[in-house]
Amino acid sequence: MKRPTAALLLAAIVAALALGLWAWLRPRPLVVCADPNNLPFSNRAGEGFENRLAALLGAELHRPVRYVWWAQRRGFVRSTIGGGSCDLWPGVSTGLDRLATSRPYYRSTYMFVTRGDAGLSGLTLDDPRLRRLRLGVQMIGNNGGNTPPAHALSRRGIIANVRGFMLYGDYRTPNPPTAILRAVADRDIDVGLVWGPLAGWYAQHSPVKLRLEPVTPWLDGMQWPMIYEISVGVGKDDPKLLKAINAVLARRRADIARLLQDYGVPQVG
Amino acid sequence: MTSAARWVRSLPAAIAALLLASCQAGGRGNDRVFVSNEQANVVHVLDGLSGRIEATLKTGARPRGLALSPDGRTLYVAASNANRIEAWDARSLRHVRDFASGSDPERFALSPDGRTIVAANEDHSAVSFIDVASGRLVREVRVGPQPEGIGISPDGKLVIATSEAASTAHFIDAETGRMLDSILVGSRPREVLFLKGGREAWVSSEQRGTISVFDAGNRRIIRAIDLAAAFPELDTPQAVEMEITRDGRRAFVAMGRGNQVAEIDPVSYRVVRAFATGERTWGISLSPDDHRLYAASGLSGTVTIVDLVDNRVALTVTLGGKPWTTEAAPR
Repeated sequence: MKRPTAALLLAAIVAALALGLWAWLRPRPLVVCADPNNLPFSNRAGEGFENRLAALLGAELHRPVRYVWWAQRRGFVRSTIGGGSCDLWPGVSTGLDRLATSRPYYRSTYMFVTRGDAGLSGLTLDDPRLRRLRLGVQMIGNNGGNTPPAHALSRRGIIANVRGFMLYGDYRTPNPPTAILRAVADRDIDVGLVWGPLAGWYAQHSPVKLRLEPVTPWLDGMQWPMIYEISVGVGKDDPKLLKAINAVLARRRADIARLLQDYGVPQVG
Repeated sequence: MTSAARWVRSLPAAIAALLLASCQAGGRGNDRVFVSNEQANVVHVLDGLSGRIEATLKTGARPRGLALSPDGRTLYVAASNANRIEAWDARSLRHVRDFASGSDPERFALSPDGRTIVAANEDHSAVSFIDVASGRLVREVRVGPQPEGIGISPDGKLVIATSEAASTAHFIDAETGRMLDSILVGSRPREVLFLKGGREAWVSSEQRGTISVFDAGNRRIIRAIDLAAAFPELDTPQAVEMEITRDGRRAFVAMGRGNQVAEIDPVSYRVVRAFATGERTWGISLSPDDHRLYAASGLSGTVTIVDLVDNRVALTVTLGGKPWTTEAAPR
């Protein structure tokens, strides 16, 4: 009865080899770190433009996309990069220290957002009207770290009439960063100084017509830029992936531009 | 390991390179090469042809940017951590003067008439204008965070300063200090090169590996030279210091962690060839006759001498420490 045993053993070896080969050949998933509740950028349902970009990158790189969901609070990159749990972060500021960043795929600006019926066109940071209007700015993190427009206002002594909206807001509501825009639409504030993609997307869907104008001067006091370039971030130890992503971003430039346009992202040249 | 220990450790290599160099080349060149070494706190003085180490100048802490007076007689050294720019006699090798430059001077440039030093104060978001005759700091212009590259147009009227952290090129009127424009460029802009009689200004972006080509007249970016596209095999193609030959025909760019120096045709904007250098090549300069190029590589602690007549790497001199940049003066 030795031969059946040998055959069995052989079959087991073949099966193990096949399994190993399959595991080896199977494309590794592209692990994306994203916020589950932060439209227009990303959400768990995959409805944001960063979700769509991740899907495009996965398709081009022939790797299935898998998400690690992480609320994009302060320390998002630090917390998620620490464990080496993600291959990429689809929307980070170009040149961010902790990651290697791709060629930027868009450049946007903070916007003055007002109601279309408020007659508040032509605002700049030096406009005297900003001293009496009710203003809203975005603030980062638990300690209320300041966004560039918040710096720009406070260094002009415009403080009392400014309300801060936490960028990451109340996570029980959908897309918490939109609170500042809702406040403009509801006339709770007159002017919101809001990062372009968020403002542009909200304005597209708002039942109230909103006016969007870039915040100028774009480089306030030579220290606080209102314009930023946005890249795909990858681990610093993964130059091959970075190169592959750069190649896809270049090849699919027209499609990505259309995607951003669909989401109302204000782009600056 | 302390810098001193590293220094001692690299000594035998330096001596070996020196012996080798003297065997190979024999003769003395018509120029001297100054190499700032930000870790060893010295400026090395090499013979341009043989690479022989002729002297070592002890400078203030963290020497980085170098420049020569228009007559080639005075070498200026930015001692960043000593907050001063030192003047050295390029022939006698004597330390002749210090200029209070404002804090943390990194790169700087001399006006074409040699009368003004314009320095980037890296930790202070400012550009300082220093009058050479009186040694006085005559003007400070506020710019974006971490200013680095400084270029002055050949007519002396326009200063371009880059802000590394704001990815910006600032256009400053040299006479009044007025800020004319601030334009976004690729991330981590490092240096400014005027060419074509001042009609064009090139701004290198280390991180993006590109050079933004400006029409200096209307301050518009008219094109980008893309080193990532030109060197698809490189993982980290970068663009740092740039040089152009006196006849304006050959431009060169140090490629940082790309470990090469690329030659660019200023007419077609195409990469013509590349020379292998040491690791992390930031600073380059040309010999006064444009026959040689000297590239400083910080991580390998070397200077590569490139023969631009035969277009080949002539020799590598090991110095240790972290060579930052080079300047060559006629003897």
